[in-house]
Amino acid sequence: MSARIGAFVRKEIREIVRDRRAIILSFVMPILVYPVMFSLMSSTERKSEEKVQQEIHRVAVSGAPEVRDALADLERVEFVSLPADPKKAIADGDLEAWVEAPDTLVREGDGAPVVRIWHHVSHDKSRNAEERLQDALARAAERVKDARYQAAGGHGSLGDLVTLVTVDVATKEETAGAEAGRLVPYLLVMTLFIGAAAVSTDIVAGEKERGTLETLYLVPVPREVIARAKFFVVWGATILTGTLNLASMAWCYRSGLMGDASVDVSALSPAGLGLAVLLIVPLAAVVAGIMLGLSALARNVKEAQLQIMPVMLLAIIPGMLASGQAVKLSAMTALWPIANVALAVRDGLLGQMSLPLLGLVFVASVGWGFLVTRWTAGILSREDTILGFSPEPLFAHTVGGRRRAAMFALSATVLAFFYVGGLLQTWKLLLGLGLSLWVVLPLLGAGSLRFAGSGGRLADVLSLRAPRPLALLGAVLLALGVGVPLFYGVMKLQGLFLPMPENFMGEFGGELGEAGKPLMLFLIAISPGICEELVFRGVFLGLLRRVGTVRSAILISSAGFALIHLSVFRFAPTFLLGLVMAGIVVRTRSIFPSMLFHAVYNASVMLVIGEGLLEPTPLTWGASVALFLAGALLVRSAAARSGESTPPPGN
Amino acid sequence: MTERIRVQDLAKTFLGAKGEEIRAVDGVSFVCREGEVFGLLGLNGAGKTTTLRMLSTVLTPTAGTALVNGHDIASDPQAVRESIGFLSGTTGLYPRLTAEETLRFFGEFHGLEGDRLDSAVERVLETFGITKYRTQRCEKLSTGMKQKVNIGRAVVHDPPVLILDEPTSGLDVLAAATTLEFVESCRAEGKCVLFSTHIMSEVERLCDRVAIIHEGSVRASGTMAELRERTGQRYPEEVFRAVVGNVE
Repeated sequence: MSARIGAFVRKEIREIVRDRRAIILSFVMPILVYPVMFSLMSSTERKSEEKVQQEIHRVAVSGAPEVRDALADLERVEFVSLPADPKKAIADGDLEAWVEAPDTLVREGDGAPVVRIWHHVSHDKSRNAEERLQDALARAAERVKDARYQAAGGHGSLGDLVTLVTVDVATKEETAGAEAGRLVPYLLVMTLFIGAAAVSTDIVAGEKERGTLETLYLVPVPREVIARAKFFVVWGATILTGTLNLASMAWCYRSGLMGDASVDVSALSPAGLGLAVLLIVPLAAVVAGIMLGLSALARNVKEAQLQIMPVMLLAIIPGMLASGQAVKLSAMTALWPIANVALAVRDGLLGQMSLPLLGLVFVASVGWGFLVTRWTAGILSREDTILGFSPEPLFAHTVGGRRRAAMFALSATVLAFFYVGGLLQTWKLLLGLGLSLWVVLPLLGAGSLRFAGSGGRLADVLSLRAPRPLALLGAVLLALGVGVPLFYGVMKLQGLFLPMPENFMGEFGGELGEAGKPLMLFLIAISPGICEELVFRGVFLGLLRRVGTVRSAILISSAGFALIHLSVFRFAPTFLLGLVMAGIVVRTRSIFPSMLFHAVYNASVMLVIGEGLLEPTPLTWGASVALFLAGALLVRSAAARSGESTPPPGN
Repeated sequence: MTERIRVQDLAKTFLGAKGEEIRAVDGVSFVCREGEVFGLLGLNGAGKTTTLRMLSTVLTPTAGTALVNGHDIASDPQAVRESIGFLSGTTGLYPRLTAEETLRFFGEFHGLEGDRLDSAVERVLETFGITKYRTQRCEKLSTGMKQKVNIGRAVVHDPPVLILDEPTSGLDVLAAATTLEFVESCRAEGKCVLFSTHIMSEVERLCDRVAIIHEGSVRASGTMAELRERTGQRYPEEVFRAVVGNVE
């Protein structure tokens, strides 16, 4: 009997081990992906918590001086005089808490004197202050009580010295929002994923399994139409699921089946609920696209479920981020897919909506939705997807495989440069910056070239050709002309939608400023001019041009270049600079003019614009535009004379 | 007779699990005409299905060209799909749609609407004797009935070219007989039928001309009489073996 069971077990194990996809999804994903994701999440939360811990709380104290004395040692508290309307000041965020004590701490009959801590439940800074004040007062009361007890010879009971009462100044709407804001974003994201998974599994993987997908692709309509139709079905179903779930959650709250029964959730802000419903639309597009794409990659329903399962687990993360208040909706988090909507819905329910950020969340979500749907449409048009073949190896030596390899190498370079470079610069700023540019970045570039390269002379891939003198002169003029429009045009315009922090430019000073101009020029102008150009306009532009159009290569390599500056405020200007520099390389067929452009531009920013030596007057604007146009003409003419614009092999 | 399908040096290469190239079809050429049943014979994995999938535009050729009803499969795939009815053992039916809903769905995609759609659906239901089952979901139908609905789905738009990839594979005797009778009726109507199989009795019964395909390329083609004469063999199985050699 046991031998037979053993034979069956061995056979089952053999089969399972040979199912590579199941092994990867069941074992490799949890071992590799989840720890990375959860550590990223906890690190984000920890950073936010640390930030909250460093905040100074403004507190007003009225009544018995003993109370004020008891709080005197409390760190990070700024005691302010009592405003005329302390409750309003708390609600407006001008004051975190008000400790209201009677004039004297004298017991009246059996009752201890009441000390009230006024705060606002949906302002996390106020809630944090309230918790700290309550702890401090309770500890102080215990100390006094112990002293009195000891003084009395350790006999008898003094009862409570004071009764601490916390009073929330939040309106019913705000309290309900705080309650709903903890759960609703989390449940909303999860239910959208569940809704999308059910439909997408059936209409793609299910169709493959039943053999109907091949039948469907025999009808005389373009494949994109079928892919789009399927996307709309899953999107619609996901929106419906999300809306129904939101309605059901609201009903459960109202009926007291869910949440804190003492909270009147009928007072939930209609604007907050409306926002949640509105944001379901782009969020559902992202979720539907992801689920449809994953389902399309699977050969049958079982594989689809295996692939979707880990993603569903990962979907917990954005919801969890939004269930606390540690992670804020900011210009950066507004760009995170899925999490941005969860955070916005939470803030909407809390009544803390910032219209520019909401706009950014909406635009980012629509952008993610667009990218995901393009990815899905691509998968649904592929032969291996339609017929359920094993897909082409991810990094095969085909055009598609080399394109994926180049994209992977670019993403890996951006991430690795961010983390390794960040660590080095935290350790020692100047040395770290030098090492990042001269060691880390070239190593990443060389690794990318080896991993994603498809042959060809190194000099051709990197555009290492002697440039025409006119091209070099054009690059210098372009670099001198681009600063004013970029700083006083693009960045000012960006500031209307994405206000820049006050100390943003100051962040680039500090230790660097003390290094002396020659070293600064070397680190900020010459080094990026050589190293960043070799990697982004050399390696990545070169690799991407061989596996796609010149336009997409310019766009993608510029996006990678902008991302390594890892600041949402610098993305647009560095992306535009990347476009100009990639354009120079494509036009002149040489990387040296773009190196010169980069070095001259960075030097001009450091020495002239950064020092405030160039004001945006009509004269400087005119001169800049003239320089830029003259530079562009020279680069163009240099290209025409060298018979340029011939694409490299592969285009 | 008018040419309906012209295949010229058609090739298809797939990538293997380790990125190696696998030439599933390697320079196949043949011609099929109206009122003719052309048989594509070959072992499993010979390249028949890949060839037919390229002709139905589900797969894109790596090299070579093919015209179906005068339309290029690479540059005008939609016009090709409008001209063909494709049926294989792997083209399934939507289980939760009824027989009539299935026919209407595919008829609409082929540009039929209103009275034209109604009459096309009625014609198919009557021709294949499935009127009684029109409101039954496909998942509830017997294998034979399913096959009839599937054939009806492929011809609801009355295409001039039919591409049938081992259409009797996995069918019981009666369902297979229905399919073969349908092929004969198509020939009688002047349609061009490209028919892949590895069942020699079907070849004997249906095919006017055949091409024997092996390891991705056509090894011999002509009428069965011509192939008999060329190989000096009497039975179709022996003719086939003589062309492809002894294969394990």
